[in-house]
Amino acid sequence: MADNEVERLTQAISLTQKLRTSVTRVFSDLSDGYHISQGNEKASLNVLQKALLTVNDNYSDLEKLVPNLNSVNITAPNSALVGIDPVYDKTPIYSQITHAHKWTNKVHKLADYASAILSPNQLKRTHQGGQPLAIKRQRKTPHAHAIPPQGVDQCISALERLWSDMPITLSRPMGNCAVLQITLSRTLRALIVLRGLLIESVIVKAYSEDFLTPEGKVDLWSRSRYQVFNKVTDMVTAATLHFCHPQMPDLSLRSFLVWFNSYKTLFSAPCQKCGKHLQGAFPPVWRELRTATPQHDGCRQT
Amino acid sequence: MDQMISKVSKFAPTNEFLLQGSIMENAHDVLLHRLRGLCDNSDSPFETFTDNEMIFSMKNTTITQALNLRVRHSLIEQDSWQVRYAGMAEMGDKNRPTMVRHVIDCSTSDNIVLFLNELGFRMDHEFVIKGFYFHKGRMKVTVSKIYKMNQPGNTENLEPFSTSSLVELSVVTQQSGGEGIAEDMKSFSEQLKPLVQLEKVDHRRLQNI
Amino acid sequence: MMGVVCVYAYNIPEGKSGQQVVDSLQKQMDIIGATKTGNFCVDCETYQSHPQNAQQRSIHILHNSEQPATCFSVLDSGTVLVSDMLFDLIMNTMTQAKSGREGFFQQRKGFKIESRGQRYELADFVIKIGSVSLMANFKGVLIEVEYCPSQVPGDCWNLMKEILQSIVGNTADTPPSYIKTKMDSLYTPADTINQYLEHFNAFRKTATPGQQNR
Repeated sequence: MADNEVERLTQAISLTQKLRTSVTRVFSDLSDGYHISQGNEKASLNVLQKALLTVNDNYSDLEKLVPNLNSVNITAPNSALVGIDPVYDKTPIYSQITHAHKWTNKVHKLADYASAILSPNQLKRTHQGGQPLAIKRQRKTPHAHAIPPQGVDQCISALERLWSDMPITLSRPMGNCAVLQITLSRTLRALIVLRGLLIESVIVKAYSEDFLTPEGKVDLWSRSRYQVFNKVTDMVTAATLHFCHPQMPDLSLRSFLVWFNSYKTLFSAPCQKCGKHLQGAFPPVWRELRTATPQHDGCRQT
Repeated sequence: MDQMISKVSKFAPTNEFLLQGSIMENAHDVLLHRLRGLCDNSDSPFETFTDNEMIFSMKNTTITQALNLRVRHSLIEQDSWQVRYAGMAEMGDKNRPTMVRHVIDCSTSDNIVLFLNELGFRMDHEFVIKGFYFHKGRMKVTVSKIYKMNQPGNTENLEPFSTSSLVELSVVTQQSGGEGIAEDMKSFSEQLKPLVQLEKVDHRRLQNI
Repeated sequence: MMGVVCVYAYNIPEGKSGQQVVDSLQKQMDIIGATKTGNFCVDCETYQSHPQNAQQRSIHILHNSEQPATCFSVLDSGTVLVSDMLFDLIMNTMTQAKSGREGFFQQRKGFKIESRGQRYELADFVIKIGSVSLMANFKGVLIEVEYCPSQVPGDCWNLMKEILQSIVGNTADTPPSYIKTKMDSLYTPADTINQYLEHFNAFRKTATPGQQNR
């Protein structure tokens, strides 16, 4: 049975091909034109008639064969899809592709600019390359950024017990990275984003402000509306580089928090160098890295 | 100051249109489902409220009618205290489908009770009201049960007044607005008709009982 | 902006008018580098309970343009009610004369007092220089300094003292009497209103200064 099917299919295919050739011949002859010699117009018309008759015969042969064919169920999905006509208006594939292409180009360009700007900066948190392999085996590869979540939780709860006036709340609003919300004794609030146990970013806001978006989610980006706290944020961000030791992550986090705790006297302590509280309407926003004594931004530089 | 008062009173919503009815316990759930279908936000869960309402009144030797102020605070949400002054509801004639009364609804800080006591108001009575609220456009519908407090100040020890629930349909508009809202309320109440009859109630006659 | 606020009355030296004082203070603002950000107004209206009431009490209703949607009501005992502007209307119903009789409260005539002037901003400080007038009579000058980032007066008093001394001089050696009791608690706008009320009451008792009305 199947063989008959296949035979009939092959026959049908060859007949279709014959039909195609005859039709093509008619049209190519018509387009090429007939060499009409004098008195021989009828001959060219005869040629045309014969060609059309061949077409007719081929067509009727094919028509006779077709009712005996069973329709084939196309189970191979890919070929079935070839027959489907996509509605170009509804599938925005082309516009999405161009958009993705433009976006990747832009990312490449901006990454080039960023690397050009950042490469002269010698302060790096991770030190790579430059050492022969032998020495590298002796150092432990820094893993501070890849500490599992339970380890981070344990470390933070141990640190929180050290200070009574600095409650720390840990949450994970964006997957694996821990976000700490610290309230420092009615003076300020801080939000620290960690990668493992390394500090990624710090934002400092007033005691009366909160870290929520209008929808109620944790807002990691918006800065304070008070200028003094924006200055403090910049100072603290600079200090995170100083306190960063990838080989001893919990010690670095602890010493950072000890230093940060000195900000509870942001409004009450005078500057150590000039003795005043205000310099240009700002309190001492800098705390010495080793001694945690308050200094104005201007006094720090002298 | 007087200009401010007149400006505030022009734009403040102080006109309330009101229709009241009651429904028995066995039909309570049916009414809730029908209201959920008729009102906005039908795909969100029922919105409930639990409030403690205290009525303060001040009397004077010369003025016969005591001045009543209602203080309401939510037992679910902290920091939400409101004080309301409600005038006497006018029944109007047969042409008016709803009751109308002058109300002033004001949010206050949580020391309002202390404040009113010092001002000379004395607490007349209080109750707890628990129920559901729905809204459709400007209209607000509440289906609620009133509970008596066995001890003043204790919101845990409650006893319901009755098994029926109070159904209220109200709209608050500005002084000048409100044309056509009464007809809208009337047609809405028609849709609840076989379950609950929302109608005008003469409060003056209730006080004489 | 819920910062710590200190309100001081500026002593008008002999021989100067209120307008001159306000002008010199405004020049001082330009010298220290503050930028003008608009006008402000704090006003106070007083009501007294009707003689027929059981107890005599006064109630002061204040508004502060810094909190424009709020109405503050202060009683003699010090209780402050913070509410919407609609509370004005409730107060109005309590004072209204109904059917020929007096209301529960009466507005005390001749007691409306207000402080009105310019508002300046310098980094995180807000400084307001207001001239006080009682029924269109000039009474004095009130200076308000607010430090927005802090909410605890005890923490930032020394800091505020430095800037206050450059504006009002020696009057700012000690914190305002109202704040002295609240150095350790969180500061609220109701505390500002109490400070203003203290000054207003003091002004109401004084006679109009010898200099001209504004």
